[in-house]
Order: sequence, then structure tokens, then C-alpha cells
Amino acid sequence: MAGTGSRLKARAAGRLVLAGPLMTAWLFGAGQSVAGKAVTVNGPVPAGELGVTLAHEHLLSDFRLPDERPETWAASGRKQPRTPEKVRLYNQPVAMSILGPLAMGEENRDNWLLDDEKTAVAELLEFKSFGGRTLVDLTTDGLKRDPQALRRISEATGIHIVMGAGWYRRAWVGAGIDKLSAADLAKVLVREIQVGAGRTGIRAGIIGELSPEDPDSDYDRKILQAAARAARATGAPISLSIPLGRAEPRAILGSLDVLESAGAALDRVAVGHADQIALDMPLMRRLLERGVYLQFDRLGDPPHVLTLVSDHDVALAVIALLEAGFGGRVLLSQGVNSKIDLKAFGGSGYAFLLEQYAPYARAIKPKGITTDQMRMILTENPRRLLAFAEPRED
Amino acid sequence: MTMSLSRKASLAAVLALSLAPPAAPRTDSLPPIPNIAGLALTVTGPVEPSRLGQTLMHEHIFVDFKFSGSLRPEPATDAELSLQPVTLANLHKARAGHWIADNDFLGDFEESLAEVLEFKAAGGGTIVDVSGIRLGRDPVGLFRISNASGLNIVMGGSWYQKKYHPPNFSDLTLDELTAGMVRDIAVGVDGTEIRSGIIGEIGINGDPLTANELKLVRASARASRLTGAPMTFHVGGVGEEKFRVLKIVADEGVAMSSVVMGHSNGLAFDFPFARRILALGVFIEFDWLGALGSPGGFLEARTNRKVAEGIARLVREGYAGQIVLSHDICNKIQLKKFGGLGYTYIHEYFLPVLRELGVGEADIRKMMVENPARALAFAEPKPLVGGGSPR
Repeated sequence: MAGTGSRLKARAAGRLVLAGPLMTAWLFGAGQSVAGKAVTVNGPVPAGELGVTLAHEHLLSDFRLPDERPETWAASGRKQPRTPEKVRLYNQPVAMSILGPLAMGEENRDNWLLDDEKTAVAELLEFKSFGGRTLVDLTTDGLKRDPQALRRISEATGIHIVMGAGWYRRAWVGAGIDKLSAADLAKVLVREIQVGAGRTGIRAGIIGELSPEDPDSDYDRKILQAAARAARATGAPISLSIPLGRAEPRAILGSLDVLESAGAALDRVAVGHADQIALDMPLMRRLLERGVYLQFDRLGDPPHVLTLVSDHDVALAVIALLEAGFGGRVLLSQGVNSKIDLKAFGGSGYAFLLEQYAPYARAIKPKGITTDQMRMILTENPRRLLAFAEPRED
Repeated sequence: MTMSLSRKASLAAVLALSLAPPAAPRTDSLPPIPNIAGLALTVTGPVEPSRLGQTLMHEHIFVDFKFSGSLRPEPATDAELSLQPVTLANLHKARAGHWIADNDFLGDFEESLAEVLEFKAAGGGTIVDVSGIRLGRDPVGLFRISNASGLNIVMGGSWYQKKYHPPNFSDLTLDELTAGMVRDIAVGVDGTEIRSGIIGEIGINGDPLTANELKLVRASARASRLTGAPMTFHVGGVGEEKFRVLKIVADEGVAMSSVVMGHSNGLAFDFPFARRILALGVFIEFDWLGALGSPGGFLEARTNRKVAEGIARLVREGYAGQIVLSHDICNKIQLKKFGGLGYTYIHEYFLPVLRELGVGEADIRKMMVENPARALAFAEPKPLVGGGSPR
């Protein structure tokens, strides 16, 4: 890779030049409005430029458990491997010969690590080749978010990347934020959105993914309150995820209550991992009636006997929601977060929605998802979500 | 038969010719047919059905779909892909349903042995390999797999679907087809003394039935009648055509309890239709289990989960004695080595879900052990219904 080093230096220099005006804008034009624009890793862009958008993905992320203690396993909601075979499977690098069991949900440590920038670029170019334009990377700090790498990937592919900010579940974040208040956390978020993450000058364009398990817990309540305040102060959208395997209606609705009472506008909130509740129309309606987006973002896994809600079921749910007049509040994404989701490892990759799902959903009888409806879901809805609102002063 | 009268009437004219059995079947060219009634016939010889154990009723340890190789896809990038070997880099394409010729080819002895040994380790006893004529059927390969693994292997016969037929298939007579299948069972396949133990998978799509398909059904049924061998169908007719197929089989004097209707996953979604088929007394086979994508791609309405729910319901209705299960491994990407779930998916994942859905051990034993033992047991060899007798 001759020349990479010098190119990186040139980019770094470019950022220093950029950081100046940004800093000035923040210091002197405090809260300068980006209303109507989406904030990407390369700065604000008119929302109309976003095109086909994936609302919840991960290009580079580390969802490996931070340690192997039983408490950590329990808190993660994952099934700790116990038998010698499963422990062996857990500890080996992802290879073709174990993709079958991994597709069945067997645990593997290496699978949870996406750390190869070159692979990310190649996979993202697949998305682009099918007509994709924008990707929201909801990797947060505890999951090894890498703003500079995201900017490099965006530059290498020409794809807009919107970066997330916030804190994932406690099993990954640990005790690091226990001493900070909701106000402290809100300040961090506002700074990341208006100035940039750390000293990178690269700004977050969405708050999330947040994955509240229990809105009554200090951890989740504090993060939700911080998100609400930061969203209010900046106009940024919020992206929640219903914890996988723990879709408690009370927790989901409770999280919305906390957001709302802390000042968030729920029509600026996406509720993700909704695939899990796609068979529960009453619950979906209850959520939608609060004004949120419902985001089905676990698409693209081959179905099998452990699949409780298949991609086909999700398509039927979307068709029903379109019928019920909620088409403007539906988002779709694949939620790539592990190696086996990538084409490089036999998965369906970032292009799945465009390459496979849209044609499939269109052909469903008697009434599929039309091309126009899919355009609304993949383009107009995410554009509306990602376009910043006017900041609101308290 | 349960076909309605009006349906019969409307079809009568069409069927008159094709259903009428030829007047004078010729069986004078048949070899002596041993009577192994009550036994199953494996590649190493007849065995007591009680020794078969856990049995997969529809697999392809060796298979070669090379005769479809002339049907190269039109788009150039797909045509290029079709010529590549299956690798990790193109696995996603194969899973998404893009055709790769190499994926349709299972011919590596050591590779196949390693895969079936996993089934053995999971408690398996018998695999039925239903690769037939022009489908890469490999009597010596299967014989060696059986000896090397300790598994019983039952080898298939008959002809697969149209695109695997030779150009002169229409010219082959009913008697010629029958005699060929009888020879495979009574003498051995391709000049070996390794004998077919089941007729099939009989390549009937039947959408609707063609003249050649009707000929193949009848020839297969006659071979079954003459040898006592069981029959196993690929699809065996779409919708009502299944009843036409089974009527021919019954008319030729084959007991419905010797017939396995393959590729029956759809019956888990249409219970009234399933009950009509089951009322005939055949076995129904859920045999597309554990494939991760391909050929339908990553997306399907009839997921294995829903098939399992349908099976659980049929078991609740009392049909456990007529259900058999299998993976239908026929692509490389179904093997563990190539990112699939291999021959152990049913044991590792499918049966546990059936148990969760309320299916008891006795019924699981029926589906995995007792039904295959009954299905694979030979009947008495008998003369053809229309006259003529094996010598």
C-alpha cells in the first residue's frame, strides 16, 4: 500500500484546516443551526442528497464481550458456550467450515469483530453498486467507534456516512460513565454533534444506538435523559434498539416516556430491532401512535428452524403498516454487526435490501411493497429522520 | 382415490390415452428377481430393517447435476460465476441463489466421508442416497462410504427430472425403463453387484404431468411391483396431480405404504390437502431442512421454523407414523466444509425445536427410526397386474 501514509497525512492536514472554522462556529455562533441538513462524517449535507439510506449498520465495530466473566455473559444476553465443542467453536477464527453453526447463532468471539477497513470499503462499494448512497453507522464509543476510519471509508467509496454517538449496553460500556450525570452525558453528546468526537473534528449526526433494557435503571435512564436533552439542543435524531431477545413492551414504552419527559420529540426517534415485534401489530401500533419510526433492521440472515420472525414476516408487517397508513414511519436496514453478515463471509452484506429484499418484497402476493413505497422507506423516511430539526432552547 | 368426480370427468378425455396401461407388458427380458420381502436392501446387501437406526430418507452423498451444465445463465456475470469453484468469496452468491455448477457436484470421497461421519457421531445409522440414473449415482463410492463409515447406505434408482434425461428419452419404452430399474435392484448398478434399495428419487414434477412423466411413474411402479422395492418421489405431482400419480402406482399393484412422497414441505402449510394425501397411506417427507439460502436465496416464506410448526400439528393430529425427515443435501454449500449445516442439522437443531413444540420422543422415534424401517422394507415380488411375470 505505497502512498497510504502520505495520503493519510494530507487528510490529517486537511482536517486541521477544517477544524479551525468549525471551532470558531461553535465558540462564537453557539448552536449554529444545521436544520434541514444531515450531519455526515464529512460535515453537513443537504438532506435531499442522501438518497437510498441504511438507517442502522456498523462498518467497523467490536461487539466482542469486554471480558469472559459469567456476570458479563449474563448481562450481555448471550448464551455462554459450555460444552468443550462449543468453547472450541467460540475461540476459533471465523472460517468457512464454521459458518453453518454461526448462522444458527452459535457464539464465536472473532465473529463479533469488524476491524478491517479494506473489507468495509469493498462491502460498502457493493451497496453503492446497487444504487445505495448513505449509511448510518451506529457504532458508539464502547464499541470501538473510529471516526477517522469512517471518514476515510466515506472518501474511498463516495458514500455518505452518518456517525452515531452515545452509549450501548452496560455490559460493553462498563462502569466508565457511572460517575457522570445526565447533564454531563448530554454535554458530551452536544459536543460530539456540534464540534466532533474527541479531537477529530468529525461530528456525530445521530444519537445512538442506545439499547435501553430497563428505563428504570440508573444507567439507562441517565443515557435516555442525556439523549433527549442533546437532541433538543442540537436538533439531532435519536436511534434506539430494542435489546435482542428482550423485547419487553413495558421497557420499550417506558424508554419513550423517559425520552419524552426529558424533552425529546418522539417523531425524531427511531425504534430499531423492531423485527422482533413484527408479529405484534397492536404493539407496533402503540409505538407508532407515539410518533416514532419503527425500524426493521435485522434483515438479511438466512432463515432456519430457530428463526422466530423471518424477513418474509417483516415484509408482511411492512405491507400491513403501509395499509394502515404508517408507511411514512417505517425504516429498513440490515444491521450488519458481525463477520457472517458480510459477503466476504457468505452473508448478504450491505446491499441486501437493494439486491434481494426489494425485488422479493415487490413480488409478494397478493400485494407486495411497490417500488414507490420502497423508495419512500429507503429514501424519504431516513432523509426526514436524519435532517436536523431546529435546536430548541430550554 | 379421493379425486372428485367432476375433476375426474373433466380430466377424463385428457387422461384416457396416457392412463391406459399398455396391453401386453413384456417382461421376458427380466433377470431372476430375489425375494427379500421384509428386508431393506443396502449397498452391502439386505439387512433387517430393525438394524437401520436413525435414518435420513433423502440425501445425495454423491451427485452430479452436470447435465444441466448446458443451461448456462444468460447474464454474462452470472455465466462467469457459474464456472467458478465454490469458495468463501462466492458463497454469498451461491446462498443468494446464483447458480454455480461446482455447487451442484458432490464427488470428493474423503470430503463426503467426513460429512457423513458427523451424522454417525450424532447417533445416525442409515442414509438413503437418492441419486439416480444420470445424476452421478456412484455404487462403488457408496459401497466404500458404507464400509468406511459403518453407516448403512441405501442407493436409489430411477430417472430424475426432464433436463437430466437423454435426448432420446421419449423413445425409451415403458418396458425398457422398467427392465433397467429392475436390473438395478435385482442384479446391480452399472455392471457392479451393488444393488439399488429404493426406486427414486423418481423425477416427477407434474405441473402438469407430461407423457414422459406418466411413462416414468408407471415404469417405476412396475419395477416396484416386480421387485418389491419401495418408491420415493421427487415432488410427485403438483397439487391434484399427486393423486393421478398415486392412482397409477396403485393401479400397478404397489401398496401405498411402500411410497414416499418427497419434497412435501408444502404440506405443512395446507392441512386439508395434507390430510387427503395422508389418507392414502403414503409416507410424506419433509426433506429440505437446514439449507442456508439457495436455490431460493436468503428469502423464503416457508421457513424451516414454520415447517416444524406444521409437522408438530400433523403429529398432534396423529400422523407421526407417516412422516419422515431429511436434509436433501445436494449442493456443496449444504456441507459443513462449505459453510452449511451438513448431515446433523436435524439432530442438532430441528428435533430440539420439534420437542419444544410438543412432539414427544415416541413420535420422534417414529419419524427418525420406525417409519424409515417400514418404508425401506421390501414387499414380496409380484407379477405385473396386467399380466406377465418375473422369471
